[in-house]
Amino acid sequence: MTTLARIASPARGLGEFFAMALDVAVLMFRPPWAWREFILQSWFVARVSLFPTFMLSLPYTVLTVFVENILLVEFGAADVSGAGAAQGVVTQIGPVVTVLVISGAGATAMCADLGARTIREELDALRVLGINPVQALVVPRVVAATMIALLLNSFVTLLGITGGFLFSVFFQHVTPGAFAASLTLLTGPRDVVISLVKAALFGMSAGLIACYKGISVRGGPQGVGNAVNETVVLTFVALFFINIMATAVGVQVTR
Amino acid sequence: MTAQASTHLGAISRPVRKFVGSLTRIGAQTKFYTEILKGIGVALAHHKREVIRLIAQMSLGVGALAVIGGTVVIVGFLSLTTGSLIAVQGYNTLAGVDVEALTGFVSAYLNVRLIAPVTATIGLAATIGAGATAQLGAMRINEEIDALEVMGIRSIAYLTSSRVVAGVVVVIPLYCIAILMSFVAAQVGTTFFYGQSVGVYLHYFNTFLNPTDILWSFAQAIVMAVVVMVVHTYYGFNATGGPAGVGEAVGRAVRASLVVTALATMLITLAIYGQSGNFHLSG
Amino acid sequence: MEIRRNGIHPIWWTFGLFAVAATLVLASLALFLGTFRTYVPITLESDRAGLVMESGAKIKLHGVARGPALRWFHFSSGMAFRTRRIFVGSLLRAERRRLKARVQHIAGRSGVKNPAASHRRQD
Repeated sequence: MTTLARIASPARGLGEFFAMALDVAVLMFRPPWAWREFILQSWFVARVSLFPTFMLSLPYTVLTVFVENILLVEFGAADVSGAGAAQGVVTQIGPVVTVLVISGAGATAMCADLGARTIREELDALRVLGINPVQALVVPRVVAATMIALLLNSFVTLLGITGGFLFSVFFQHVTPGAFAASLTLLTGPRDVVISLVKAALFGMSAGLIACYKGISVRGGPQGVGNAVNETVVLTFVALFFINIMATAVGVQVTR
Repeated sequence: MTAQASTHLGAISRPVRKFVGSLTRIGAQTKFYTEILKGIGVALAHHKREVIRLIAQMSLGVGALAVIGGTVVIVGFLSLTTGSLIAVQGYNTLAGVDVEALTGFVSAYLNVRLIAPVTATIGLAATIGAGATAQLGAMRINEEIDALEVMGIRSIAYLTSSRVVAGVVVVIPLYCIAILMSFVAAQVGTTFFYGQSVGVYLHYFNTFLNPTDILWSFAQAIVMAVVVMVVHTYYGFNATGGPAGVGEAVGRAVRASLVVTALATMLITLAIYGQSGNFHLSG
Repeated sequence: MEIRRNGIHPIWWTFGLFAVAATLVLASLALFLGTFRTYVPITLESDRAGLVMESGAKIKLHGVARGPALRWFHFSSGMAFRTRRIFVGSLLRAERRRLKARVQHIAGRSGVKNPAASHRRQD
């Protein structure tokens, strides 16, 4: 009996998660909208994400460009390294760094904040006052995470291509003009749109998972720590999975 | 310490004092790191059972993570998804110039040099890193660490150094799984989903798979494990501010470890492979 | 948070950390740029002006293991006079001696000047 309950509990968790997601989807379009909370959360996520984004996109891009250029120099095709860099940054590094930063920085903070409020019974107090905590707290956070993920993705792409350019030109002796000219060889507006769609999906999923884990905390302060840990793990897993699915779809679309 | 600094600086404005304060904090952090590394000997000598318990806990997880299968399954799954990117993106890009037969080569080259180390590091930071921070943070706010100190146990050695040792021990099989999963994902994606012949794929894969590169990437993974555990245990050990503070500590730890490991991976890869890249396509 | 038990102010640790970080970055950069590699300078003369060899091209020499690349490094052009320095750092000492002997042999045969083949990098 207990074994059945233990197996069933993650399934129940999944079900509750989808129920909350449905709630968010419906309540997003119903007044009253929590504008103030939305703006505050957007600013918070942006504030904690800017520096890690900057510090993450440069090394990953340099790494990718370095590995690709070794290959291209073998072919004597170093001049198209811009194409490889743009393809890598726009389609993969942009979304992946966005995932890492949004999950690592934004999602944990949202989860910790909501978790602390849950164990203090603040959410129950809100329910008593007739305010739906999902509408007042979760919806603005999810929308804020989505919007900031979109913006971060663009930021990473810009930084990545610039970093790739500087590294290729100054360390691997690629012609700057050739690099710039070959940027759009493999990557077109469709790839950019798909990358933005991916980032939006990531932001939304990270927000939903973090908020769900936050409002379903049990077991006091230790429970909050566990919830934050599980948030990090689940958002990484979910977002990497979404990444591969969206990549497969995107590749088919741009064929 | 900060008070002493401010009396020395006198009437200099707050930004300068804040800057000095943050530099001082970085210094305290560094000192803590050396304490952790110094405590490794003590942990191996006196707290072996704790290290073994931590190895078991880190690899197979606790609570909800154990139901999913723990760190092993999570890192394996992450590598599976990133390895299949080779199949999806690589195959289609190469097919655009009619050299899709070389997908095996792309897998052997990119998986070993770029994808497996980065994915394994991210998986490590998310699972055992964040787990360590959450555990230590909860212990700190429950004042359990102070109780340990009162009992006369060296808390840094017992709690943090043992986790560093356990992390290094756990990362070796974990990284094997990460590399294998990324190879498997690339192969299955290319041969099963995109219909390439297995023989063609394996021919190019085996030709360009360089055992030296794999060993170097192992060394990278071990260095990353040390960095991740050291950073995460620092933030967990010094968490303040109740349960929300623990969550904040996890967030800061994940950010810090991702940034430091990204820089370290980049520097190590550049140093190992050098300008020529140790790569020979022909001849 | 912590009681100062010894006299070292944490800010010295900060400088220590920055020093260690800078050392690691410079070491990695140096390894990347190949600063620690040894070279054997070789001069070859040819009568044909059509010989073109770009910097970074890989060459093979008889009797030398294929292994890591031997690389042309410095390029000073004259009509039929090319100076090359060949990177041999990854060869064993015995193989390096054999290479030097072989190069001198070839150079002697084709009437080529071979400046003292030293193992120090010359700029």
